[in-house]
Amino acid sequence: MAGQDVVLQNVSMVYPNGFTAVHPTDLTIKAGEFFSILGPSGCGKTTILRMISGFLEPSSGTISIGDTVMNGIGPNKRPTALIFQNLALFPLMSVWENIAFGLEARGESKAKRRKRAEELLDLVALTGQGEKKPTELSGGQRQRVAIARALAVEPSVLLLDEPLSALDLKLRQHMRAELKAIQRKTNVTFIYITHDQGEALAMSDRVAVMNEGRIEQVSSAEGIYNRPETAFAATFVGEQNVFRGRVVATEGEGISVETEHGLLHGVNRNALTPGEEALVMVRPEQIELMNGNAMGAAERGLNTLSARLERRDLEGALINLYLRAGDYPVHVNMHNTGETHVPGEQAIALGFHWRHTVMMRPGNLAKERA
Amino acid sequence: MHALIKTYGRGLTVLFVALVAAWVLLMILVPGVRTIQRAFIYEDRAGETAMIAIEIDRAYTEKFQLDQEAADLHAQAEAESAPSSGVPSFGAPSMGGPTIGVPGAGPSGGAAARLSPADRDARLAEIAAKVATLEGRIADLEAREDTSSGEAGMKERYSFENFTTMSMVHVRIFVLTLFYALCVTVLSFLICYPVAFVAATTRSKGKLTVMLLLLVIPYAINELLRIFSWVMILEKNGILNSLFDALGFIDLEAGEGIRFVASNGAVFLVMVYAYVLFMVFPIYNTIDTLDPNQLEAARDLGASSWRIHTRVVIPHAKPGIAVGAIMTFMLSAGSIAAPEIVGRGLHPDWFSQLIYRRFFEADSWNQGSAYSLALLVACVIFIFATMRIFKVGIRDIAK
Amino acid sequence: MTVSVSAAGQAAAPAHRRRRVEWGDAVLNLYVVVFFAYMFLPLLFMVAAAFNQSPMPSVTDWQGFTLKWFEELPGDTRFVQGLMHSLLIAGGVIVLSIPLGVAGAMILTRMQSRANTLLYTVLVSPVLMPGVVLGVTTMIFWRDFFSVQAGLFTAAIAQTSFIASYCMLMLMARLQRQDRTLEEAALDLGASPLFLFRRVTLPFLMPTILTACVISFLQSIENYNTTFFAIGSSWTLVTEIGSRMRFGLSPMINAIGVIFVAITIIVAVTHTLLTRRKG
Repeated sequence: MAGQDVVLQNVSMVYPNGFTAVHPTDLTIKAGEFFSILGPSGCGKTTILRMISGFLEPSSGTISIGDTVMNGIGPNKRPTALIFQNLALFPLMSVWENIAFGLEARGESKAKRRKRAEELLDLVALTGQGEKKPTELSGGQRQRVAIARALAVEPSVLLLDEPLSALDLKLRQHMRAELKAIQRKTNVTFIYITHDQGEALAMSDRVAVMNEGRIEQVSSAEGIYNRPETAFAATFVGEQNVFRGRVVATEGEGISVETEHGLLHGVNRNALTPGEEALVMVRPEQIELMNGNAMGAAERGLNTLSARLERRDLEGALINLYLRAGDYPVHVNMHNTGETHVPGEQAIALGFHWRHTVMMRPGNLAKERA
Repeated sequence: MHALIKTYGRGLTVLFVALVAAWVLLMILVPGVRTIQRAFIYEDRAGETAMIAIEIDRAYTEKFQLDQEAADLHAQAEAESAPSSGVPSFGAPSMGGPTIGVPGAGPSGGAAARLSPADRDARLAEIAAKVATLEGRIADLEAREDTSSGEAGMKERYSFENFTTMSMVHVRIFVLTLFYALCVTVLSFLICYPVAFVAATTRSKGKLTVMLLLLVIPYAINELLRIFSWVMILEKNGILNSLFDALGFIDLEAGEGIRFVASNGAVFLVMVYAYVLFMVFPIYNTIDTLDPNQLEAARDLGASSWRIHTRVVIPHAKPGIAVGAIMTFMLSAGSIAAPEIVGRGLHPDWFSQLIYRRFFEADSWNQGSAYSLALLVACVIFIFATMRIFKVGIRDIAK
Repeated sequence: MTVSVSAAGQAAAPAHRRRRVEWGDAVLNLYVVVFFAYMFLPLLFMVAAAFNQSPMPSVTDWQGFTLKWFEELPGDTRFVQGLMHSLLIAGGVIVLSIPLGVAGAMILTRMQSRANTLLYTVLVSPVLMPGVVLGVTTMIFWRDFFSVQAGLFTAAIAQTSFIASYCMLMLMARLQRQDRTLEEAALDLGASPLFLFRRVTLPFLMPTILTACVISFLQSIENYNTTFFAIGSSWTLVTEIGSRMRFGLSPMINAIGVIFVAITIIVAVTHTLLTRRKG
């Protein structure tokens, strides 16, 4: 089995009641890639998955896998396999019958099915568990049966619909590593749907961030986190401190924005021009305490801000500071070096480098974080 | 439909649709519509066709009697010519069964009188002549019947006459049947409600299992047997009269047994017994879903038992009561077993018996259809009224 | 049922109330006992009379224990033939009702349309119709349109028209609890619609189908009203019992009754034990 490209061209989905679940979208997923679609619930990511697997027919556009256009082809005739959120293991069949179901549907002999099932049980580290019923297995084991069952039909594309959401945190982290390993071993194209940024960032070669039926950004995990391109992507993945202002000047990738806390400098991510409104974003871990030493900040390329401490939480290795600068809450987290001194009552001077400060065109901010 | 095709493909979907269509059309709608149509077609029985039919029947009967007599005479002749005469001939065996209800005639018991051989031959010739005339007449009549019943002659027309010509006796029976069915329904509810309540609110699992089992067994035992068991009790020499005898109220030997059976009251009582359980289960099922805390709360607030039942339990059990009422009413209004077996045909009819006689004795299918339609409409009205009163939908009813 | 409780607020009220409630419970329990006596005593009489020598079914005139009424049963050709007819009809009813029930349940649980409630109403209407009406409409339909005289065939059809509704209702209840993703998973793994139906949907429905078979069989065997009207000059065991009951009592009827009662009790107790073990 080898992975194949999945190409969406101008694909959209409008339900009969008029609701647009997916706006016209172009997307290319490369063969053998681990690709995640990350977005809040209701953003249309499951709709895209169901269109690729063939349960939904797109309202417009074409979906191709490899060189074949898939429109009009039923889910049972596509080279895809879907792993359902609830796994959908057949409760009346034993584990090995579950795994061999796709082969049985093709009319393979029982001996051949049995042999293949054993191989796949080995692959997912469930050797010898074939005779059990799915209900006799633990959550993680059922998970692996579902993967083995999907791999048994040798799909070129494996679609995963939040398959880890039912597991507890520890198991989830363990399964991430396993999924990634299986993907490497099999070289199948994985398309992984999740609302959990940890899963998306940890496993994926590339991530698409989706909101309200649109793909906001497609990039590597690192790119999504460090170089977000939209206000939504920036605020949905990881945390941001957001200030509003107006652009006064641009120069190369540098940009200056006038805010109620004075002029702030940053990176012009959306090709803003002077006069435009802008959002200024900086992540909590990029802000440092100036500890009364604001001299020469501008020379070092730092923006400065004065804020009043409202609350501090010690979280072991991290210290979270919750401050307020005028109307804006500001969140700072810093490493607990053991000597970290946080002043009490008086205004605290904060500094953050302009390279870590992102200026963006206003847009939807995420209501929840992934 | 689209979802069905998507999952099960065209082939299976077409099969499902075809099966359901056959069911709806061949078993429900078309038969129903045809029955309704017949109910509104009036056959003019006094018309020419009917007269011809009656004459044909008469001619056949006459011919049959003559044939019988001839057969008897031939048998006599054979017996006499046989060497060992003296074996008495019994003539033609009597035709059993109620099919020939010819008044005032009939060769019952081998009737042909003994005649001398000469007289016999004369008589045989006479019979042969008569039969020949009759055959001619029958052929003629049947030809006329064919032409008259052909196109317009059958004297059938659409009208309400099947309903309007219903005799007052039948109307009375119709109304009484519905009235009794209503009484059975109400009485069944009163009898059942406490039982259903106890079963649904008991805390003991063992008690519940036993109660349900004890309810299911009589429920599943055939209706006829339940009715029959009561006939044994109510018979003239039955258990009830024996009990009265033992108590000295009556003297059975002297024939003082009270005839309980074959009265409307008895039919009514037996029906309550036979259909009461159709009320228990739906009510039990709904009370069972009532949160016991509600009862506790009502009791704590000092509500009287009466209030708890009228304000908490019964409103909650409404769908179940509606289902039970509909089933009980429908079964008793349409019951044929109870009136036939308990009534022995001796007491005033039940409406379902009238329907039966219209079809199978009066051979008037159209009037029978009209009567069935009347019963059906009464049941439908009852169903809708119950749904309105108890504010439940069709989905709550059929479960 | 119980006496109403006096006004709340009195100091003695709770204890007083509790006593009243207990007293009320006792009355209720006594009523239940009386109710079951009412249900079972007549049946006990009927069963007992089957073992009485007396040629009239009776328990008061006890002439000694006998099994002769049972022994006479196999020699009674009308009973035996009636039983054959009943089994034949029941077989036909099952063969027709299960596919109809499955098809109806499939369409009603999958079809998202306003016609759904209408179709549902039509399909359950036979359950709510008097058996008399089902019997005569079937008889009329088959004679008028296909010149089929009333007989075993029409009886089976008339019974199917409402027994299929019961099957459908049972199957619908089962299908509503079905996890639809199982079917999607099967399709996704390459199953053809037929394979999916045979391997996933049918096994899921199988327990209900088996129950529906048993219930259809019992309903068919025991049916009197509908069959009485639709069977014409033929007869089943139950219509034969009915006509014998009309023409006079015989302990042979009691003997058959005992068999029916015994089968019913065995089935009911088995079912109770099975569900108890499961639950």
